[in-house]
Amino acid sequence: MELDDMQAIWQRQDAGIDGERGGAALRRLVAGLGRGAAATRRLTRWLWMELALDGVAILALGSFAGAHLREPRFLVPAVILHVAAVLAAIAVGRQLAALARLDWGEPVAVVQRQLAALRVESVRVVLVVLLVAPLLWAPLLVVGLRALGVDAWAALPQPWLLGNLLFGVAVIPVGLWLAHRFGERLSRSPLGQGLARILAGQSLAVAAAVLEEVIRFEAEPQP
Amino acid sequence: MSDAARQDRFLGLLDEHAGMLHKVASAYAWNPADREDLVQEIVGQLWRSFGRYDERFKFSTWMYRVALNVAISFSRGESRRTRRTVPVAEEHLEIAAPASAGRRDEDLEVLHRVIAQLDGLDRALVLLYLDGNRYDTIAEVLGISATNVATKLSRLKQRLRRDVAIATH
Repeated sequence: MELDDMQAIWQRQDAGIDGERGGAALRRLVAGLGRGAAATRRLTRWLWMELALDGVAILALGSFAGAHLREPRFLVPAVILHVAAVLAAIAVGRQLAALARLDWGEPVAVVQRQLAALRVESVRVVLVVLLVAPLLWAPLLVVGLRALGVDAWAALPQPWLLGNLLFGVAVIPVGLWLAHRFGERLSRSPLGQGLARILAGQSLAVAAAVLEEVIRFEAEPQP
Repeated sequence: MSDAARQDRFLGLLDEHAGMLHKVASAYAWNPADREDLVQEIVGQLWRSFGRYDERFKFSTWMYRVALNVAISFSRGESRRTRRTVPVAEEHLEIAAPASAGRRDEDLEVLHRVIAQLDGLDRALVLLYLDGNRYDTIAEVLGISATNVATKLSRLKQRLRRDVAIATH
């Protein structure tokens, strides 16, 4: 089969398709568009939800810190959590801004590069959150119990609190090792496997490889 | 322009280029159900982006860009989702030959199978070439220079010839 034949075969599809898809079918499709959910729309909804939760956390922690300005044992954990919430909100905001700027009518290489860069950033953010989360457990316990009227420093033995902090530190290398060693078997759920792949760095490698592929595609041929 | 007039204008343009829509979908989705999903995603994105379409430029160029962007993203998500569960075998590469054609077009099937081996961006390049577009149009759709298009196509044509020859023997 020669290239001209291939072009003829490919273009022959038009004859059947144009007859098959009339205006009525397209009209029905456009009328039912609300049901379809593109990947980026799902991502956008997810990010807005995350931003809303971050906003609530920032306000609640800000208010908590304001109420405990003279009590460093509560103020310090609240500020640590507040900073983490602000950083998370900034990361989510950056991704939402990038998605809002995305114009699908731009050239293919441009849009695919933006999408690939967004994916890399998104995976990096989840990776950082997964790694930092165990460290935030102890401050969260102190602030959460205080919000419920319990003074964790008085109610719980200090070695126990310190143990929790050390446990958080220890969880990071153990989690990384488990993700590398048993990533695919850790969970049957796609979410569990997805998190394990992110921890193991596989998702970041895939996202980076896609970005690299687009950059290679755009590169001018060497003379 | 009223919403109804805008929708009529959009549907008119879409109707004129319906063939392009289905050819892109058939190049990036393996089975009829995925293909229907992809067509719906493309039409949805076209409609949502229609407000940004600049009428000074050709609708076909803009439509190719949106359709290919959606299709490449769709296929990347799909391939990630199915890679661990369903290996892509020949029987999964059902071809998008329109029902009205009335028979399986074996040559077209071979062509689809060969194209399916290319990555998303190279597949877009080959699809635009097979559809009879000029190099400068392909460059405009993809966002690379015409020289780059020519260089890549020269390599891809050799690969197409070789792979089609292997697939038909």
